[in-house]
Amino acid sequence: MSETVSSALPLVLVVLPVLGAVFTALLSLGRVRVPRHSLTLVILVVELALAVRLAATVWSGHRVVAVGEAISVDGLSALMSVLVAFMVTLITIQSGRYMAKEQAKGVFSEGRLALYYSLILLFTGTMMWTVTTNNMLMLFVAMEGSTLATALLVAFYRSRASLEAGYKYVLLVVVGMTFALFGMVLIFAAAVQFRPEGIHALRLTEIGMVAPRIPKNIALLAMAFMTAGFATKAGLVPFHAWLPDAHSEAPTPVSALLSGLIIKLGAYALSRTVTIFAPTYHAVIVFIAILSSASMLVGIFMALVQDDLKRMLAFSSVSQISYVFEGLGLGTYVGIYGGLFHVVNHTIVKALLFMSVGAVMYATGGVRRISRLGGLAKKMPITAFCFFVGALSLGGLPPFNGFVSKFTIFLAIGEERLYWAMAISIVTGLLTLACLVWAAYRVFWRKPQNVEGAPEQSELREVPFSMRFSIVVLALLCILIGVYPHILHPALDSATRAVLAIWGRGVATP
Amino acid sequence: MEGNILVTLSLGILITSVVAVELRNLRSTTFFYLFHSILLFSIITAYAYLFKNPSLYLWSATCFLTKIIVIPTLLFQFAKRFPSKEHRPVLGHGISVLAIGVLVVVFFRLFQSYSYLLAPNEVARTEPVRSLLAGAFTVFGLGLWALLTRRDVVKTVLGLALMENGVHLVLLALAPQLSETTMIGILTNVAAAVLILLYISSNIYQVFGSTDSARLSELKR
Repeated sequence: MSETVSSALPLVLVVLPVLGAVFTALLSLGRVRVPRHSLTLVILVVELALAVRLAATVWSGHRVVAVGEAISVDGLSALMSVLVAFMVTLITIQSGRYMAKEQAKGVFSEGRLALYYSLILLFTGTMMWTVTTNNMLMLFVAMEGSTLATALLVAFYRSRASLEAGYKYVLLVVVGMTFALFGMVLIFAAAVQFRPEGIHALRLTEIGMVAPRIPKNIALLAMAFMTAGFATKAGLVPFHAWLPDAHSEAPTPVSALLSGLIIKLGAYALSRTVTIFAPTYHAVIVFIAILSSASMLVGIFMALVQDDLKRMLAFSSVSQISYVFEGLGLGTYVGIYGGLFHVVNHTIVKALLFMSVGAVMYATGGVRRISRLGGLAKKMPITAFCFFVGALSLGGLPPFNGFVSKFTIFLAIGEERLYWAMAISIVTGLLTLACLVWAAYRVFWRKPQNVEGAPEQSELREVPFSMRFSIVVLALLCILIGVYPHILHPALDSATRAVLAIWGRGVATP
Repeated sequence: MEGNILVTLSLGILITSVVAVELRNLRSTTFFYLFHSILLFSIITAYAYLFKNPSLYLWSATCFLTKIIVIPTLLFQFAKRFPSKEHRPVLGHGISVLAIGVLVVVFFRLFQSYSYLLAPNEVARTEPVRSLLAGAFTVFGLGLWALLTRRDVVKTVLGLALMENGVHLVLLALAPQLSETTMIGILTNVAAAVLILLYISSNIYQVFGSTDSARLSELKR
């Protein structure tokens, strides 16, 4: 078993960005002109360094705890915190020029730009809190915190559409999470009653020992409630209504945050709670498989008919997060491994795609309708290349990273003999490939369109270096992980074992 | 005798919830919601006293702060800016009252009769906790009902608050051993959610000139 070390580092990870957020907000209130973008970036780079430092400790075989055991960092927390810090940093790098241009256009005031960076930092803090807390109900509180921190980012432009999106987002996700809270309360109440001596009923690391003792009817009802709640957070059909609106109306870097990180919290919470019950109740596995399969198909069919690039990507997220749910819901080593692998890959690919769309919108003055775009590859070869890599990867084509994780999930589903679910996920994969590649072709290679609202060709040029940087890094990562998937193996293995360890199977070899 | 207080309070909380959901004037609605919150506070305090669980007093104090002071104040503050009359709900008045009556009776009876299915311990299966639990589930159901059938944003926020109160009552009935920090976290969270929702709603009112959520149809595709 792993050795437990006590350290203040996880706490710093949570507190640092929150303090940074307060600091940035206060500075702006005092009308001090500060380079907010650079300040945010510095805080995030420190955060990333700390997260990597912490992860290194965990990967060397330790579990790090803070504040008693209220905060606990195992393999899964370490993986998620590095992913969060890394992504937020890249997204912030791209935000600089993008948001500055929007502000220069007069879409929002200077003061609101300060709010933007504050909220990004606050969001980072709540994300870190979510992935490190060891208390089941605090997990709920932290997830809600992350929703509220991003709510104003979704409604940032205060236009009709973005206010509507923001309202729907908060309302639906909060209501969904209330169901999850209900489920957690039921589990907690039962756990208090049936726990063995000395077990803390609320600790995520110990709940697995109580899970098999909880009466079946309570467990199944609670599982249904929790799955529905986490599925709302993750945006699975039929709880997805907020997702396409929020993703398409938020500022593009925020869309990358939402699709890349926020919806993954639903998957994270699922793996910490519901997955633990999967081995005891087969019904849970089938329920999640049905939910995910429906979500995959609806998501990709909706994506196929969209003309708005951001909406298309949003619907594709509905479909992709279902792969993650399906894998995690199986509760087997391969399933969880594949699910978590896809969390990493989808975060990279979706952030890459959204940021490429951001680059397109930056260059064309905000055009995001596929029917108005065309021939951008000549003027923006780097963005075109990056988007194409993302499209192929999301479609699950080798040698890109999406292929490896999807294939692992297919294998895991096959292992459980859910052949119908396997067929659906393979078909969805093919449709995704068609959808994304077709969109990439129309935006970048087809003849420029001569329609109203189409960008002026002569004014098009490649985006500045700071905007290209993030997407190039992510595109290279897609290829690197696709060709050498084993570089992620230690981190993923440690994360998978962390989930399995909760129900006492941590020592079992795959 | 002691059980009677909790049963009476549980019934009171049901009645105030129904009235808050059904009233058309938004200010009176908020008033009844305040009354509902005071009853909720009383239930927690009574529970702490009857079951000799002093740690619950901190719980009731937090409830007082968030549910009696913060949320109603926010609702009053924001409701001042909005029109005082609710937008026509999805169902007509008569049908709505009838439906809600049936909902309350069915939910309450159902959970009272079958509480053993969900209650993990002996205490929860006997009065007065049984009634409290049935009341809690019904308040949750009422909140959901309000969310589904009302179009006014203030009513929607109210529905959400009712759902959360239902869950908090379940928490009280089934697991009063909850640690203080966790409970404070959960209660504060609701207040923050209400604040954000009302803030966005007031922006919506400025931009759309209405608090009717059915008007939010820009993105229906």
